[in-house]
Amino acid sequence: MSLALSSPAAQPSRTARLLRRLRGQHAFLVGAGLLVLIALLAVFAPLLAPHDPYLQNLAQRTIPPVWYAKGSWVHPLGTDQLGRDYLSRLLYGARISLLIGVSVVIIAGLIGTTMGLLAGYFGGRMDMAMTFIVTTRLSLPVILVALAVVAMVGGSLWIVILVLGLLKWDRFAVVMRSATQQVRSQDYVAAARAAGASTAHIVLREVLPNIAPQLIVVATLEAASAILLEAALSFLGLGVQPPLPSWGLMISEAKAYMFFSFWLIAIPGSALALLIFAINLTGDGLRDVISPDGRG
Amino acid sequence: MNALLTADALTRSFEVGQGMFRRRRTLHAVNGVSLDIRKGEVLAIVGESGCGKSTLARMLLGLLPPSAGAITLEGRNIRDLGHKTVARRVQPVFQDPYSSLNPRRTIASIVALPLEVHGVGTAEERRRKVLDILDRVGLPQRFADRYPRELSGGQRQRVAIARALVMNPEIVICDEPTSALDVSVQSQILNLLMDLQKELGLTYVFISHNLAVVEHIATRVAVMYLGRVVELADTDSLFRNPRHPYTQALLASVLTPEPGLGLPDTHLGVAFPDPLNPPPGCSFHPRCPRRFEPCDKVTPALLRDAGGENAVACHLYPPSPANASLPKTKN
Amino acid sequence: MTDTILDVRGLSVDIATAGGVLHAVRDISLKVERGKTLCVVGESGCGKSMTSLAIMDLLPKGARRSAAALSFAGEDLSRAPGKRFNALRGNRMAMIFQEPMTALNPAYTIGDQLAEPYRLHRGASAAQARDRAVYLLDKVGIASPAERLGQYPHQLSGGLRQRVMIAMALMCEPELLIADEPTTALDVTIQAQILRLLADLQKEFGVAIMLITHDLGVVARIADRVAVMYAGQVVEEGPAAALFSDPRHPYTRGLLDCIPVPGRTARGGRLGAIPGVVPSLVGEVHGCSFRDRCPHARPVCAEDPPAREVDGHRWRCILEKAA
Repeated sequence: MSLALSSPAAQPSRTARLLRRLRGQHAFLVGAGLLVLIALLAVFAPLLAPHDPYLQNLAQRTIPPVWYAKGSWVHPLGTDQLGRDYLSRLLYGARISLLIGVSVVIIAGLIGTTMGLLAGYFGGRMDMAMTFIVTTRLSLPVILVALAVVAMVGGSLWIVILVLGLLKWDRFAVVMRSATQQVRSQDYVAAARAAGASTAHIVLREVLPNIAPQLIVVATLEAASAILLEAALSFLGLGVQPPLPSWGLMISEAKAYMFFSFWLIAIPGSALALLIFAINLTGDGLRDVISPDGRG
Repeated sequence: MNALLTADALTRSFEVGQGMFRRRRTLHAVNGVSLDIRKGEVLAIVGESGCGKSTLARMLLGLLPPSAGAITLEGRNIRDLGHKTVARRVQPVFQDPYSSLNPRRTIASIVALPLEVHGVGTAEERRRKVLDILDRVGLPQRFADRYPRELSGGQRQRVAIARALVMNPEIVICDEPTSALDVSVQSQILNLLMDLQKELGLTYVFISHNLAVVEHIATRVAVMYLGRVVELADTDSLFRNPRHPYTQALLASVLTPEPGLGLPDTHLGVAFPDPLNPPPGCSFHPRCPRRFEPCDKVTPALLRDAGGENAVACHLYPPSPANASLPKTKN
Repeated sequence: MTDTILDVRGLSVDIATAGGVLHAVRDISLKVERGKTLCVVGESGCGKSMTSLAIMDLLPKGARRSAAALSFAGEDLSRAPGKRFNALRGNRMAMIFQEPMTALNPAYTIGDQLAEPYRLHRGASAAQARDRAVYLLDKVGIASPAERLGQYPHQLSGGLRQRVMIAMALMCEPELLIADEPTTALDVTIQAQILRLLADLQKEFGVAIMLITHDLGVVARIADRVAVMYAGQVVEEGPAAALFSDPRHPYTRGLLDCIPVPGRTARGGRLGAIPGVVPSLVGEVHGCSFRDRCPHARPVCAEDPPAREVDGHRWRCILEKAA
């Protein structure tokens, strides 16, 4: 009832309102800020990296980072067991993590959203078919299937992306299905149909914009999960193959040295945790900022 | 009679009961409804929740295919006419102005949607048309670039009316257009609908449960109960001389702001029938205060009276010329 | 018997919002006599529901009540702790809500829900509670009440659920029944039946009813006294007959003109309308809140309008009578 009391006239513009809502969202601002920072570091890695991340120098193996007594500014984060500059590898590794996150979300998002939209909009047999496919998919453990596929066809960055993309659409499908069902029952969809609009028009222009908030939230959560899965696969040696500087691979390669050169495992591990933390904060914040009841 | 839109023995059933293993049951939401909608009239369809009036509206709009029967627009089945042709001539106004406007579009874009869909004019011409129609429904043009959430319920309903009228349709199907609105706003929307009807020569199908509103705006009334039309009459006859016991109860239930009249006794039983399992015979008989021998066995047909205009489906009015002289009881 | 069961004086409800303090209810005074019906009528956002929630101490978080006096059966509750209200609510004062489906707990049977307040407040045994539940279900017109006790809310139709709600409210023989839009979600024929039921039960049990509604038709048929609310204030209050036959406040008059009455309004003619929108109640509010929409508004309306009274019929307007 408080809504009815505030006069509908004289409202600030959409952007102004969005900004005002954002101001209170400290968690979101921190998360998004971190995420943007990591993305910038990744994009500009070739300019920022002090050394070639693939250049080995066995004479300079496992130099500790600068804050250790034996460290130096030549290799601010030290070098790995093959004498490669760790900072440069970390920066290039961010590219791989983000590439994985974005690509997997695009593939899985396209599959899952299409399925969810179709099932939610048309219902009936389409819905039953989708529910069956999702149930089937959910009965497959992602990590085991990924292991099996990679073991069969060999690991590479693109294989990992493809396998994860083709496996991780389930949450997209489920969330988009229920969101679509909800929007579909709204009278504006009936009004568009009564105006003679085609199904494609209705799905793309009436339904999709209204389920976009949920889509974005699922996408962030799935991106984080995909990055972690890649790290896990790479750690097991079945993901990204050396010498690519994936963070998971870096952790894996460092495990033999963890008692003598702890930083080798701590640095990529912290980077991974920080990235996941940033993505999750952003996702949670987005849910609050652009949720339908907030009407941002 | 020049019928513009005709429903012929229209039936719509739904399979109820989700899931693979549960028994499916059939709900006859609309059950053999025949109606003529004549040019220039306001045909009200009244009834309580679950009587099938909204399902009927969706079928008339072409949004829901009938399970049986046909809808014809000037003699041609709307199934053959094509979705877009029907859309040009028949448009809806829905009950809830909060759900009928896409929250992510501006008012101008909402109203322009039918024009876009039908490829009318250039963007600039469409914009002009939109501003014209907003003006016509009494909305300032500065609202064009706002979003629905910035408008009050009454203003939103004006937008919905503008969208319905922007293609110059002949028939507007109003499904409870004022039920979600406050009294003071309701009267404004009713005034607007009446003005527009006169100015543009529109035909309305006006679906409502509010008989006072129906009496005010309608020229003819169809009363529905559990998927069937039980009485059809011009507004004057229906309100002065309701014949079906259900119509009588509905009229008696209208609470006008007249103190001293007290609360009416509708003489209806408490038991409301299960629409999935409607009573045999006349589906109203378990609640009917005047039921007699054939009511629970034979479903009464909707029979026209001697004048041929009005019709009632009730065993109290048997199909003979004598029924016009049957004694009429008033509550 | 004309003693007062509920006497509210100077009741205000403030709600903290992002944009400032919203004065949802502003300094209203109401009285409900034993065995009589007071109807509080107004449009959405006028503060009528907040008023009822404030009286029951059921305000949502963020809403704050203040009152000069809130006396129930002679006991001032304006500063009473929540515990005191818990003891009264469901016992000596009961409430019926608009949507019986959400007010009944779907996980419990009708019988359990009917018995609970009775056993809680009266310390009755299960058998006693059951007997009383059967008695009241019968009273509210439910056939074979004993069998209904084992049913769940979803097994009943809307009209039956509202009857169950009424029976539940009556379990402890309340002295005051607050009904917030009790028939709005129901069909018209059912609405008439439920209102009749309320009126009959009032006669039988002598319970006072405060009925909150937006429907002037309901008000006219059931009220002894009527309070018309607009923008958080009671703008007019009086005996039902006087208020309908001789409405004094321009808002009341405007509302009545908006409603088509078969046989009285000319068919197809223009209905009265109240142009404009309800003013914002956030921040300081001065003067007559209806002045922006009032056909009789004058500059002097920017100041608080005088309170007028004739034979227990009170209104707040610069005019003796709206022409």
